[in-house]
Amino acid sequence: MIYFVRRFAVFLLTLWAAITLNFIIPRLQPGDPAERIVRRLNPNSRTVDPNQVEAVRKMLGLPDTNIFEQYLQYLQTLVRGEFGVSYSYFPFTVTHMIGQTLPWTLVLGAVTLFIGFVVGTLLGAWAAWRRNGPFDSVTTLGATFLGTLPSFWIALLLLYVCAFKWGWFPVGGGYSGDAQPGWNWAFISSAFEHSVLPAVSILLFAPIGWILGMRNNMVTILGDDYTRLAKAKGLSERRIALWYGARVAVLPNVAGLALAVGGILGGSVVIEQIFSYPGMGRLLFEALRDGDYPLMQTVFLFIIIGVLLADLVADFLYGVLDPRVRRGG
Amino acid sequence: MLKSKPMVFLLLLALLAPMPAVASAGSQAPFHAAVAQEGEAPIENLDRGDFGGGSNPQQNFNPFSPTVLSGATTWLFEPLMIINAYSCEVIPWLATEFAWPDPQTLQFTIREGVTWSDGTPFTAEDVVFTHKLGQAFPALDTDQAWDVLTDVVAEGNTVTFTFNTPAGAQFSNLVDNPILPKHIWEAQADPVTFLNEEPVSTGPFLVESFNPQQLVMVRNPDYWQAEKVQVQRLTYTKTEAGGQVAQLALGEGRYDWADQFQPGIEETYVAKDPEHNKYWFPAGGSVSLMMNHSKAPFNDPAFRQGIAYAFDRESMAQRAAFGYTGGSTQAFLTLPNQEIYLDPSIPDQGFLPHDPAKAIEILTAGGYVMDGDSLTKDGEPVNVTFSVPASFNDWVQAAELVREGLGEIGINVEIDSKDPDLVFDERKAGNFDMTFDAPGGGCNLWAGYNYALGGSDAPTPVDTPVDFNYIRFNSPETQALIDQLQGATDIEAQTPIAHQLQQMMMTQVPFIPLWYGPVWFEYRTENAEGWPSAENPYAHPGNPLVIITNLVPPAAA
Amino acid sequence: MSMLQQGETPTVSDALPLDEEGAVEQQTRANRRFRVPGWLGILWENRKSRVGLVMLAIFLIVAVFAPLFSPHDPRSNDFAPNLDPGSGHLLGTTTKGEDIFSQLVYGARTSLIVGVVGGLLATAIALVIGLTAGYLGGTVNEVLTFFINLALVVPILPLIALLSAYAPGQGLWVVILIIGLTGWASGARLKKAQILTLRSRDYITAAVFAGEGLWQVIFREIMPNMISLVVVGFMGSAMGAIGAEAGLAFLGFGNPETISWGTMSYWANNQGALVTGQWAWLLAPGLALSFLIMALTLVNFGVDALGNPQLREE
Repeated sequence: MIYFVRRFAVFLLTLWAAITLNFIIPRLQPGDPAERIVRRLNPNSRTVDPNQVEAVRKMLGLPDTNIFEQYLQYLQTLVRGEFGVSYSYFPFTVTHMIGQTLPWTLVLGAVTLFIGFVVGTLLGAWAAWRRNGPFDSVTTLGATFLGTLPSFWIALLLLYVCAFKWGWFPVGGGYSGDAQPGWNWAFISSAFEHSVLPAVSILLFAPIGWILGMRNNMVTILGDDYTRLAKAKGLSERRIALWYGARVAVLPNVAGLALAVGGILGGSVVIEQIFSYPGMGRLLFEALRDGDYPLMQTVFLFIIIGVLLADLVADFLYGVLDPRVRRGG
Repeated sequence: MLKSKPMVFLLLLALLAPMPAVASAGSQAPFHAAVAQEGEAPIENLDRGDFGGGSNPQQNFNPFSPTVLSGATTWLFEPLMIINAYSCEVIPWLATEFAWPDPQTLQFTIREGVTWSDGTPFTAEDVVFTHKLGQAFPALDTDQAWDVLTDVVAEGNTVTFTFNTPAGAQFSNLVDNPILPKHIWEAQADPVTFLNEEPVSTGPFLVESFNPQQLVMVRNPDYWQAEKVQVQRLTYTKTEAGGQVAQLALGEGRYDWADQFQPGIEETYVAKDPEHNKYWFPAGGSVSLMMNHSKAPFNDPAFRQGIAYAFDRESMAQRAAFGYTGGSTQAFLTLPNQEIYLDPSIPDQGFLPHDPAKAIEILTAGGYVMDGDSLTKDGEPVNVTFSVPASFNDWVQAAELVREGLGEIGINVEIDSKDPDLVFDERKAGNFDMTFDAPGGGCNLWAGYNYALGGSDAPTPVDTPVDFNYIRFNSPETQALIDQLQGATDIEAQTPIAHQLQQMMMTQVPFIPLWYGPVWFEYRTENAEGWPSAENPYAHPGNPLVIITNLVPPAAA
Repeated sequence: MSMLQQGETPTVSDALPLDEEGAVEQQTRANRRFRVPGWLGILWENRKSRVGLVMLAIFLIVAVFAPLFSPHDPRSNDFAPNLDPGSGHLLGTTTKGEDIFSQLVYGARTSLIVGVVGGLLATAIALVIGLTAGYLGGTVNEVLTFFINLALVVPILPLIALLSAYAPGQGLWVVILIIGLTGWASGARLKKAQILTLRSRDYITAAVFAGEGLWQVIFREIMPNMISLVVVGFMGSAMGAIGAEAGLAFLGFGNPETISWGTMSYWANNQGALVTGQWAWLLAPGLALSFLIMALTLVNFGVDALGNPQLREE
């Protein structure tokens, strides 16, 4: 019980520290959000009209209280679950904008992460068990080669070749403008069609880390005393590899998975930006570019809570998978 | 792996399916779908690109809002009058006439027979209501007009604006504002956050459909000059404005009408369909060398006059504006279209040659000494830091030419390219040596001078951020001229003042206009003709309402 | 005392698995055959990492002697813009009129510096924090886990956007510092996880009972078993740092005036290299990046063998 209470206290403390940093960091950025918005409204003009900036500043109600009061206000609104009005999407609230974009990112990110993890871990385990065999060589070399390619670069090439040159897939966006969003086949098929290239761009890379990580861990484990001992005891190789080896070797991967869940959003920024995908990664990019503090903070808050929760879960999973950990606390 | 691949896609499909309903719930609302199957206009559809509202556009037709779907409001809400941004002529629109009984009173005669799209007649009361919104809600006063405006009243079909000072220069701001229906907006408690999801409008098009990827505008059959609008639909498709996808799409001929930067336009656009793909890039504001007058040597007129001859303006235009435009005049005008304002006594229309010898001559006369290869004053070499926003590629390139030009006359320039926000912050605070900006370019000459030099009778101290006259030019005479220009209500009154300001520009050289930034405008003649062009510059690309009323179906081939 | 203990393990061969008699034997053999550091010998024996080492060496030479390899100043924009590959410029010129090949050569410098420095920084922090937290457990673990978690969740994107904006001209070093300072956390977590499983091993328990001191146990008993994890971790951090720099630069966060493969891609993308059909501009930096990362990955194959003798190729 004490274990749980302590874990939870640490969780809260980390949360507080991260939330505080989350408040401070964006505010140290140079520039004026109102001016950035006016600049974005007139993308072809290098000069902004100071009068318009002034009006936007009044519209956003940019705070001129001191930073400490702002911080208290920020904590209060967080506790109440109010995230305020987005600057770059005024007058829409942050919650509204996240509600619009989160599903896209979550589905794309979660599906690709899940597939990547399962496929990658299995392939890695298999490769380690049959190490130095043809399967191992093909998998590790293939994964290695793929892993060396910069993802933004692959995404750009996919966009250009598959979408633009060959016209197999749409050039960007989340769905065709002709399809009306809702429960209809035209829209769903259009959304699927639009998600293929972004998903492929992610899936090309998603399993790699898991493959190599799993293989490395498992190869180490298989070289250990107790696996040798198991072998000497006459246990079947398959049983050793999959029961002893894989079970222990998957531990770091599970820890990694927890982090990867929090990383979905960060990782989606590049892909969503390239494919003009209407998800949260793109929203985050815009928030960063436009100095949209309320939106930025809320998105990061989601990331922080996601990672911390995933971390907590991972700690418990560790205990389940490797009983020795529990003793150590 | 091979086995799991189809699974991957099946899973994706299964999981993607439930998402969109959540993502887009509530983004649909009924519109005035005034689709007249009978008697549709001859030009079926024109395709356009981005329609505003950011990458996740939301249904918002409030023209004051920064996330408004500007692709829609351009066609919904009309101004009182349109200033042709090319010729600077005033084109009557919702108002038929205007007059200045005195420099503090401006009167408009409102057009009769115009109706809102819900059938309500458009009246002078709507004009008064719209302008008073800015008084009641300062956030809606995008021109800060109520700094000088004291009242707006309607009497019959006449609207009278009164000012607390001679306010000729307010004209273009006032006529520009889109007029809103009083009977809809007066019911709104907070017009600042009002989304105006079902807009009632006077303009040539109505919203037919909207989703975050596409906006379709359909012709308003009851438009007050409907006979001039021959386009039935305008279809906007969401792309990152100016992004690579938009550039690729333009190259493919997917936009009939665009206003975006296109790299290598001859090869990437025109060459793809030379018969139909056209562009016209008229000159906009002058990209100018701004100097910090709170520091030596920039506070020395001789220095400024001298270095004005150090630059190869044509090379800059070639390098930074791809040769679409040319070097600009020290007289601070957009030539040739604003020639009516130009003082004819200024030699060569104020275009200064690249003449290092003359530059050195002026500098030497001003007390500077060429010591070997470097220019010195009182024994100290003149060193300058040039701040340039790193992401403004064309400016970064031109900065290189500034360095070369000044290097020729012995001035050592260090280019400091950095985050744009840092450059702007330092600029406002007066903590810079030299930088670029693009003041002016519009028909409102006063606005250009006021932005660059307004407040030069008492420059703001360094470290106090300021938007106007951030170069901290100190010249009460100039400020007096700027104030006079603000009060002048017609071109006869404005021109003599403009001439004096141009003389000031030539002799004082508070800043140095270098080249004209191009205004992007691409159009296709496959579905419509009658576009403004270099041969027929009847309107500026920034006057879409004028353009739409001039488009005609292509002549039968 | 602990310092003395540390001093007793100066050679890398000592640091190899002591509980693996075969390994020591093999290691000594390797040492005899090659009069080079043992670890390099093992790496060289592995075919894949040999290829990786050669590739890495080429990158290193190009980076160090960049001025010799590049035909022009990478920042000079004196050339005609948008030239096709060939035409006096091996890979053509940018829309600014810069020589793409010269930029590519200088980009190797940036990426290597980012990789080595960022990777070392991240690994060093990860090792110290991960080992301490994992082995000591208890309150120390709680406190360190707190910092690990904090570092994991700090929003890195605005941090870099912010700091690079404030450090004109030194954008690169700031980016390296941030990547290093934020990149250690996941490594530390993995090392902590590994040590949690290692410390309950019998031979560790035996060593503790035999009276070995804390640092002795950590460095003599545990470290050797983690060497592959540490080196793989360094390679991972280095690759991560290189990739992160490129990705951030591609998005436009960071100083776009730094000459790196990431900023080259950023400009290529923003200036419409695809639209104008300048393939080389976009392809070259991406390929160079992938070759560098591939080199590091290939070396990694040999690193596995460092920690696990069974993997060594005969």
